[in-house]
Amino acid sequence: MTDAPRDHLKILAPRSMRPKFDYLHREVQDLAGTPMSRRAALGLGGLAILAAACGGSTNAGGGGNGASQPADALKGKPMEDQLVIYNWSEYDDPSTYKKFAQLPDEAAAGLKTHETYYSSNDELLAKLHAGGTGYDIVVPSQNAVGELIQEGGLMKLDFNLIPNIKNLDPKFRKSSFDQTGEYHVIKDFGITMFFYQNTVVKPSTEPKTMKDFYDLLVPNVSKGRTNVLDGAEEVVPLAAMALGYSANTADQGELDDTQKFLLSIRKGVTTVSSFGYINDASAGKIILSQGWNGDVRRILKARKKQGDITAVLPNEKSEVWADSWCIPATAPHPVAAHAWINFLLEPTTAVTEMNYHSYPIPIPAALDQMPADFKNDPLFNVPASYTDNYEYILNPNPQLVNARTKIYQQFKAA
Amino acid sequence: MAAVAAAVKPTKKRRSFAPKYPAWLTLPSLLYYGIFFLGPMAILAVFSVSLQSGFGSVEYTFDTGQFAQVNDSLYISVFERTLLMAATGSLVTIAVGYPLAYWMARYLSTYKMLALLLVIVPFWTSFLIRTYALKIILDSHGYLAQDLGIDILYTKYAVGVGLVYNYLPLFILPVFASLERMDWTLIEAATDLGARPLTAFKDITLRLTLPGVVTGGLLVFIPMCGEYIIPNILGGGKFEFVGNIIGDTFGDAQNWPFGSALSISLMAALSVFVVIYIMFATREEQFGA
Amino acid sequence: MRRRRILTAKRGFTLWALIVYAFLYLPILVVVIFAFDKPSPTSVATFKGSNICDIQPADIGNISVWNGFTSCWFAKGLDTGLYTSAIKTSFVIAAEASIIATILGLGAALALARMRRRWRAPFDVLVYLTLVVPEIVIAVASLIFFVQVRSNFGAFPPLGRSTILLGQIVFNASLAMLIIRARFVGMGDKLEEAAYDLGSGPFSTFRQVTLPRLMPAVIAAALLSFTFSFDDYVLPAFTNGTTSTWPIVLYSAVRFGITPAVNALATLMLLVTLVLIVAVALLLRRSRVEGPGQEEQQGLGAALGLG
Repeated sequence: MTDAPRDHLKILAPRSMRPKFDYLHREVQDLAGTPMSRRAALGLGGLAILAAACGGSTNAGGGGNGASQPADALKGKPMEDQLVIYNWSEYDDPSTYKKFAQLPDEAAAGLKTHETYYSSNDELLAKLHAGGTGYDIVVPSQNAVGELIQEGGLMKLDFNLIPNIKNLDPKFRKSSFDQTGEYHVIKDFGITMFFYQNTVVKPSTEPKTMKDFYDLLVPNVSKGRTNVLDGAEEVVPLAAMALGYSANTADQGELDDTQKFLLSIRKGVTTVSSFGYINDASAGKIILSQGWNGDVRRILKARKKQGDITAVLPNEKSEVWADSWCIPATAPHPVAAHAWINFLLEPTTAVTEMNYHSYPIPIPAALDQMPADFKNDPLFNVPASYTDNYEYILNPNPQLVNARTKIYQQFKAA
Repeated sequence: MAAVAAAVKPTKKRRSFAPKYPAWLTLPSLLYYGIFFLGPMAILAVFSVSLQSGFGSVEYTFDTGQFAQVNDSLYISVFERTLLMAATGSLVTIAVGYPLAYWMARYLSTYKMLALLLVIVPFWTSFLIRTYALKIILDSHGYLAQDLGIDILYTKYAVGVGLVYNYLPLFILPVFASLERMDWTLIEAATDLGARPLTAFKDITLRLTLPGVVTGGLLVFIPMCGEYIIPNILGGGKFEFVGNIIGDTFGDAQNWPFGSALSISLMAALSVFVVIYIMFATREEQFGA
Repeated sequence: MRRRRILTAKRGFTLWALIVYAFLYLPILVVVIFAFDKPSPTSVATFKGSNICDIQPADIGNISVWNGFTSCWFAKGLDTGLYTSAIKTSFVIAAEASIIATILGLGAALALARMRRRWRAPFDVLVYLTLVVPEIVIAVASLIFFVQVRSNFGAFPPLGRSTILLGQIVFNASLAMLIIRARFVGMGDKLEEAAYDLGSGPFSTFRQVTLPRLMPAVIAAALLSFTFSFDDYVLPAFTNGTTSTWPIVLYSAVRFGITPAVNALATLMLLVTLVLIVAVALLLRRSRVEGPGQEEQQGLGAALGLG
């Protein structure tokens, strides 16, 4: 779709209407205060004025104001008295919020933290794209961070306000989803692995790779519930990686192979779900499943007495993911938001947090303080020999995401 | 029987005496729908002929390409499955719910409202907690599966149970409301005149309450067609309804134009049922008045 | 002979009713039972604190099986400000949505029921369209709509409680309209006619004749609206802005595990409702049995649809 001189209005209205539209276009431009294309101004037809006055696009969360803002715009600005966090629920220790509000500057400003919750990245993205949210802090996954940067939805962080960034492992400052490292501070990270009930699933050779996991599905499905993690951005890239392709492959041949492969193992899958699988697996109701390392760690703990869970960190390729602290471009309380990120980078805070959610935060000083049962657990402290082969799953462009979704839908509906 | 039928069937003449409520009473809701329903729907309509230009953003144009994509064997087969499941689900809901509503209306007096409240109270504990509990009941390690051999979790039967469970009050309440106005003396009169109970039920009760039953049935059928959380949880995420397809298109793919085109197509298809119903309902109304 | 047959029919219906109630309440019973469940023995053994309900969701272990009895989840649930405030928010929004939707629906039902078909059909189509739209769709569309309106009209409320309410009323009003009309149509106008003949004005006829007879439908509509609103996740999840409703908190908590504290709160809500219902029932029964002034009682009874 090029922006070439194709006149879309021709389809909407007869030529005689043109002067009227030109007039409307000028009016709308005046209203919005910025020059804009005819299409942007008039495209909505009846809703033209409505839409055009806020940029001619529903992408109000974007608009690029994040990118154009000078890096030290917040210098000297006072602390706000509010902080609105949009997060997963139960993702942070309740004491962290209390301690934050008691910090000297925050207490002086009478800062109140308000939190609201989402249950999927899709919700977060839809709301940030639509705009008008009023959130100061969001916790997107890596693919969402990349996408939001691309759409201009995130604020460039002012690291003068985040001196504790020095505590963070420098390797984690920049990443493939934020190549300059200006838009995110990693909250915690993890990997995708798999586990099975060794009393039920008895593989002839020890499964070592994600491909081995997929191969176990069909022969074992009759013995109990098998599960793969849900979401187009999970199912398709994980399968692609099992076949040795890149997680973010856009190659049509490779995508076709992935689809064929997924359909071939489809009859071995009882559920496609990330929804409460921790509880179900802890209750011994899942015999074979993918899972995120912190969750699998919980499941192992819960099944300790039975000792019937074998957890496998896949050799070769799998997913490494990261949830990050970001500030939306439209955040109403950016100073407080920076202060929050800074506080979370405090090693003592990080220790509390890791004990709570059992995912590593890459702050060496904090990791050193973790109890031995965390430090020595490969499911918490995943050895680099594994993660070096792992890839971040990203959303490089809408076309690929659409293609993944279609494959995912076909997989589920098969 | 003829006498009863005459009593039931009104004459045209009486209708003209009916006290009419002024038409402006519809204005507040008309205004409300005009803004808060047609507004979002207009956005949807505009999206459906636009093009996806980025994640969650669209380029406004007039392109019917999205609708061409809807005609895909994947979507068609999911749509057929949805219709079948929703239709079966509605019929079972009617079969389960109608006798209960009948019982409340016919045999209870003092505790009528109590019984009605008891139907709805379970739905004040959150859907999520309820569904978890339903999963525990349907679980393959549970009593139902082990002792009775009903192992249906993550199959279409579990989805069916979930649909019927969750939509039952949506059927029972309207039907109760229309059964409750029944004049039961008509039945007595009919049986006194020698009608068999079943005939009396069929000719009087059913006829008089049919508008309520059809309204209730449609009230259940239509939202069932758009359902996506129940199939997702109880079907194990692999028993797709159209709602799931649309949800994934809006969610995972963030493709608002195609999601809009899909939903408009679904709405258009379901409107066929609505139109049939409206024609039918207008005819049925005649004999209640 | 005939009497016996009626009795058998009655017995059959009662039996069926009991079965349906059992079906409805079975999951609820499970919810209640698991509100008293202890964390798994291994996590209790390794826990250092005194109150086992302080064990974090991540360490709670297997709670889908019976681990033993404890009542501490009730205190824990009531103590979790996040939960209680979310429940309160949901309750208030649901009550408001229910009242407004029922009034809108009542007005439309009255006017439409006896309107000419030509005028009525378009409205009917509109009402059914509100039911036909899958919720995820109306949720995304409403989100965009609210944001756009807000950015053009400063007086429009930002995303939050009011937008949740505004969005939910659409579906609820349709529900209320259909339920009330299903009763109103064919309710018969003999009584209204009589009231008119006896010189009663339109308003007092409505208040004294029509409304009491519509009451069961009005109550049913209000109850259903309330329930739908209180339990609704999808629409609020998109239009909530910074407001947290009870379902929003719950759905998000699923990723990291829901504790029995949630069951405990659900159980408490259930208990309060049932106590209220029983109290009202007893009150009605007493006033019916003992109360003087039979006429008045009948009025009250009729108003509640007991007539």
